Amino acid sequence: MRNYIIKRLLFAIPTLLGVFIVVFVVIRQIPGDSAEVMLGPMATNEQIEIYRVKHGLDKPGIVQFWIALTNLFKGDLGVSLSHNRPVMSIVFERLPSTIELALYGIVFSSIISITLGVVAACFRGRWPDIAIVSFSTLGMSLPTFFIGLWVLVIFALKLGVIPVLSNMAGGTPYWKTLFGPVMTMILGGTGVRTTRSSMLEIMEEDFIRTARSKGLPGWRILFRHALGNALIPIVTMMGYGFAISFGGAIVLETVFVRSGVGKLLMDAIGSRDYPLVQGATFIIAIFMILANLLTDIVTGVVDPRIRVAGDEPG
Amino acid sequence: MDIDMKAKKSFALLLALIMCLTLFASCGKDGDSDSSPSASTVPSQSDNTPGASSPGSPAPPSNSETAPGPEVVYYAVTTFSDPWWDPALFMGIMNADLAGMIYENLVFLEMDGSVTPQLAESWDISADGLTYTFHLRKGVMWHKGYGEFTSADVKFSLERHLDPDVGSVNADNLAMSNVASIECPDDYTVVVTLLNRDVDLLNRYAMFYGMIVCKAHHDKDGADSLNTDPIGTGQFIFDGGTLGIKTEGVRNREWWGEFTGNIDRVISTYINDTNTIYAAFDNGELDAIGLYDRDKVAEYAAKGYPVTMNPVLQLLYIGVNMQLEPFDDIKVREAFFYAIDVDYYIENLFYGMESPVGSYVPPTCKYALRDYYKHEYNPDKAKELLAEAGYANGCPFTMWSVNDALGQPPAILAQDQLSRAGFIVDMQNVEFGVYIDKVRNGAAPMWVLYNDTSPLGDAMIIRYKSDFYPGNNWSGVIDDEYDSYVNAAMNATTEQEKYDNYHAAQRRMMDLRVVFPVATNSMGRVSQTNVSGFERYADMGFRLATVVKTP
Repeated sequence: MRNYIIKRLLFAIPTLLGVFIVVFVVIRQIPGDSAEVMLGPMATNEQIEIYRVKHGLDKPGIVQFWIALTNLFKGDLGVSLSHNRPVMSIVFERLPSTIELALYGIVFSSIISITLGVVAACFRGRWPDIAIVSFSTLGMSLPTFFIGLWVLVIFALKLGVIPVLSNMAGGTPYWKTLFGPVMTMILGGTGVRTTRSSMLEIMEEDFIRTARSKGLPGWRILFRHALGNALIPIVTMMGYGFAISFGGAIVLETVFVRSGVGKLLMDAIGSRDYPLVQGATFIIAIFMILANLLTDIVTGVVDPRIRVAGDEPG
Repeated sequence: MDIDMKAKKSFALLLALIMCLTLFASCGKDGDSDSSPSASTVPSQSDNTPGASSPGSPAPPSNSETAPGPEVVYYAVTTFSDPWWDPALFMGIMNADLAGMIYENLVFLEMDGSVTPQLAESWDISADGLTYTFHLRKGVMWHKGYGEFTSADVKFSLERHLDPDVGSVNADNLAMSNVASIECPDDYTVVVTLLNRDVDLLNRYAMFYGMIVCKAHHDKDGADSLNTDPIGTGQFIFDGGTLGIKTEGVRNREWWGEFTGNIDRVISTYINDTNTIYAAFDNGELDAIGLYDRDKVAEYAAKGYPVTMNPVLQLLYIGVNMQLEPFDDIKVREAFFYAIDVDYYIENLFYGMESPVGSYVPPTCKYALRDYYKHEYNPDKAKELLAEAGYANGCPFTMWSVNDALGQPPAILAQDQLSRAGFIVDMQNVEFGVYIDKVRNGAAPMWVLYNDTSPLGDAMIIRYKSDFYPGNNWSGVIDDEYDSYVNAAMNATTEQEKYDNYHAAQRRMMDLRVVFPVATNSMGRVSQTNVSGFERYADMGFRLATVVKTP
């Protein structure tokens, strides 16, 4: 297992380097540079030149890349053009909010998805199954921002249960700031269908039939034998869902005005803040890689059959 | 599925229990969830004394313990507001929306255009107009215990605009190249000597780029601290927050001026999406908002919310680039002017709240030519002119506009009206960065934009000089006559000479038919019914000394 982890971590290095290069190139292909956007419609050419020189944007692209790359190896992601502060400190200031959202989202969405998925499997073909599957299919089919807007309209504007501004304004109870985005993740999640399918598949297995023929109680068959074995795809789904939720944070944080890395990234793209876009993307990529690695490790622990040959724990 | 009924009931009970427990667990942690270290729960004033959290910082003001009721105003601004706090980097009032409540200037610009004392109690101007002697207010204290404001702060604040390390974008706005010297004979006197007369010097010093910063703060905490922890002498003390998230300010109880309001703390949140701002205001989460959308202004006024309209420093423009086809032909440009129905815009887009204008400089600006251009809507005449120009079967071109809630409606109206007059409009509604890249680089035959300028209005005239194309001369005005008027105005030594030349430049520009000024566009400020006392300021800045919030 240790060799496996080391190997995966080594593979992450070229991936991260690739992310850095791609983002560096792509962000600069979008028309409008930071000086034009940040200084606005009235900026003179001279003012734009002063800004470019000050922030090193007057240098050739390859020189800018070399500076960014050497800084990266020193652990320095540069200085944000729109905030005039080190990118690293800005991103780490916002990161806890995004991690918090992703964690709560995945935990609650998993609890509810597994619950509903098991219920649907238990009542296969009957009205609870049809209702749950129909509802989850609808949630999966709708774009996240659309679900988010409806959650906002219903729970904030109509019912007044949660604030519109999430954690931007002060004095709001903690749970209220998370309710909207977490509810959106739950409604848009794919876990119900995965759990249901997995449960149905397992319930047809021979060992379940054997357990039944031995006269074991239904709850024991369900929880110990069926759910335990159905967990493998569910755990995988949760892990990847956690990784994906970092990307999904861009939408959720924008809709619910949460001050996380996702909103930071959106704002940085709008203002063509190249170092901040690169930094935020890079750190999101690190978290996605780590989340994926963790998922693979946990999956390996849950199901020894899929451990990589020769990579036994210890 | 062969699960017996008892198992199903147990299962349902267990699940209900799990869900209840998780919900309780999530509800257990109350308070502000903002995880950023600098943006915490709104604390009481006594435990949130400015500066107290930074070890080694100068002693905080002692009078914060005497705070009355904790009245808080939540205010929404867009993300582009206040991207930084250093006045050397302010590009427009949108960059300095909240700066006016933290910093102050030597002099203050009143609504009627006059200049009155602020940090300078009085001033003398020599007979030749080359020497300005400012007599500073005594006993004005910097926020967070940085000592008394003196002439050294004024000298430092102005001279730093010439420091290449500062990278000031406002040295020209302050006409620093015209300054021969800045002397401080004593702590309360500053003498500014000019190379040439500048009739607008006091106006320049009253603008956002003339805000005075604290030398002691710079010397102690470094240049970067001006961006992250602004120290001023103004009504409110910067009390944390993170650029792009929120800004908090606590009332300055040592302010030399008089507070007539009761606001002790202001929290300003940065929200990009206007619909989110309206929703939060409707939900009572924001006490006041600034808005341009006339639909919403009318809606809030009808509902009985207090509405204040701020002065007009902004117009809605439809411009063309006269270097690009088909607008390189004066007949096509004239047709374009006949094709726009200003009355329709004012009635349907602005709900009758705005007015037509006589020039492309907002009418409240000092150098505006107010009554020159008289609009005439005549689509038939437009078609005739297009036919004469060789476009009898339609004149195709591309129009660029910004794809936000403010930019799209006027562009759609323009497309409709121009189409009726024989133009074939390919409308490109794009993100602001893409838009500005197109117009600045001379790639937009037609552009639509709300644009604002300073109270002088000279920048709006200067931008169309030939040498600024491509660049901020979006209309490709390359015209010797226009240039000569603008140059003469810029070098004028008397106010009359400036007026004459700037007015002549505006007449020439309107005759060239390149920038169509559709109408004024004032900014509304709407507050909740328990918040009152917002005043209008010439620079459109945000100040709260007069604001009262009742429970």
